[in-house]
Amino acid sequence: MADRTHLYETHVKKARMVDFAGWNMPVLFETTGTIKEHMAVREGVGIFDASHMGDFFVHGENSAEFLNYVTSNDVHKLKLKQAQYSCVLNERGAMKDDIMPYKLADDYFFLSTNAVNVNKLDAWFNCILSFAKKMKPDFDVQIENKTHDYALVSIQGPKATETVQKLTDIPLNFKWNYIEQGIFVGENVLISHIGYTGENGWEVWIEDTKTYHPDPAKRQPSRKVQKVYDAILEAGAEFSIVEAALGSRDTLRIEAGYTLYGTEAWEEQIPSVAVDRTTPFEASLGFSVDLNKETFIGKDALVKQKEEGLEKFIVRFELLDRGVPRHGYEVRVGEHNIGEVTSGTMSPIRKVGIGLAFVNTEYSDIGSEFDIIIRGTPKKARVVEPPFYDTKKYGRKRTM
Amino acid sequence: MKVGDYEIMEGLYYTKEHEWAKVGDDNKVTVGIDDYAQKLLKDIVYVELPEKGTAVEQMKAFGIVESVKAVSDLYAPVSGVVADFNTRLDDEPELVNTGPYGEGWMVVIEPSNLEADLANLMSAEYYAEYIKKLLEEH
Repeated sequence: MADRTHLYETHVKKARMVDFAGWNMPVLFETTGTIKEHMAVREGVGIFDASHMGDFFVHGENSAEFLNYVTSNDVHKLKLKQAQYSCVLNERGAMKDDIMPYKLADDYFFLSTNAVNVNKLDAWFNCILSFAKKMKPDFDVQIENKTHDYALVSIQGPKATETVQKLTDIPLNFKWNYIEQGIFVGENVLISHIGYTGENGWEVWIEDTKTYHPDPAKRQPSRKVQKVYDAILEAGAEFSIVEAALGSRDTLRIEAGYTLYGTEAWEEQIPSVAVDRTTPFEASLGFSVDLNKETFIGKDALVKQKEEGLEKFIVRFELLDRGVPRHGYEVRVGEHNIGEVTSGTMSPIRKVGIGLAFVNTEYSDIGSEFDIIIRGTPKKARVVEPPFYDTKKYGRKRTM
Repeated sequence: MKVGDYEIMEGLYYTKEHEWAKVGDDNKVTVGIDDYAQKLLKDIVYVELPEKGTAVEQMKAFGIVESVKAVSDLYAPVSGVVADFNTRLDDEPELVNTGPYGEGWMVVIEPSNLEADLANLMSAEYYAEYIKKLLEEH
């Protein structure tokens, strides 16, 4: 049976549900639909249930050393309560996941990971850790997978801060990618200034271990989590807050130009059903890699790739002809296949087809043009700089 | 008439793929998708319709309707030739959601075999029963 979040009972009554990464999640809410949810986040505020995402706590004196070994970025660069974008890699340099590690203390880190990779990371981290401990018995690291213990709600949009500030005394004036712990609607939470839509926003983790049961159907609804969620809906009512689901999460992140694990990047699986794709460099995520680190899993492969140059690269494109690009559609120049679409949609703001594609490097410069083949017909497309929306009017750096 | 939350417009013929067909006074047939289909698809973001003069065959795909997540074929209720298509759907595909029987009309077909083709379609009453059964199965 698919897993369920703390908010399942109320959502199942008013949302169309799908199986996502082994969880039964809303894809859209019946009274709104993806487009309305998308526009609410761009123009006001929306709230997402992101509880399916992974939550790992890493503590011990050697936490930083361990994390630096299994990730691509350098946690020593982190200030207290700061997060960085980072990738967990395999030995071939391909992405096992993209994650946000937060430094809660010198010996205490919180990792927010993709839902689809939680079980894999649990196995991988513990495998690497037991290897380290065999080599060095006093290697001081403990890892806890607390994914089921935490609900996560994400409040995104230009009115998100005003909405959320009503519910806490924590002054929400701290920088992007920072986290605080404190009281929110009377509950102890972690709250981070972060998001995945391109808009300003906050993510709030609420712990509720009491309602857990290994059989999702036997779990009691979580009054604690529902209380926090309902309080946010009430606080956001004056801004016409909308409940938003996976459908709009996807259209928003594509419009922002963000990659998603499983569409832009993946690694080979057991049993072998796919080949590695991609390294962080190929996925346009080079900023998550710090090659100055002495050693980390995948470093050799990345150093080699940097020296040799990339053959293919993730680009953002928009269609110049009418159509909707989708995952798997072929990209061609003339008769030559040069890659494929990894993510695509119709931009609700721009009303043109937009997406990401994995293409030969020769066609990865801004302004390059190629054809996306839609049902046999070539549709012209051009590589653009993200985001797809006008940053004066939309996005967290808007000026209008 | 209503079947659950769905409006089934009377006086029209229907296919099991949820297209409706309206026979005009000139015997030309206007075609669209019904309230059940538009609600199932949710936000329609793109519609691809055939050019005037295109031949269409009953229950063969003549176009495409795309929602955010899905691509669906449109099936011709009757055989014939496309006499007109709704150019507004280029820029305003959402008209299919807001007015599936009105502003969201898709094509007008000059039928080649009208009487025989209509016999293969469902009346509004019969279609309402069909929808009722579909809803019970879920």
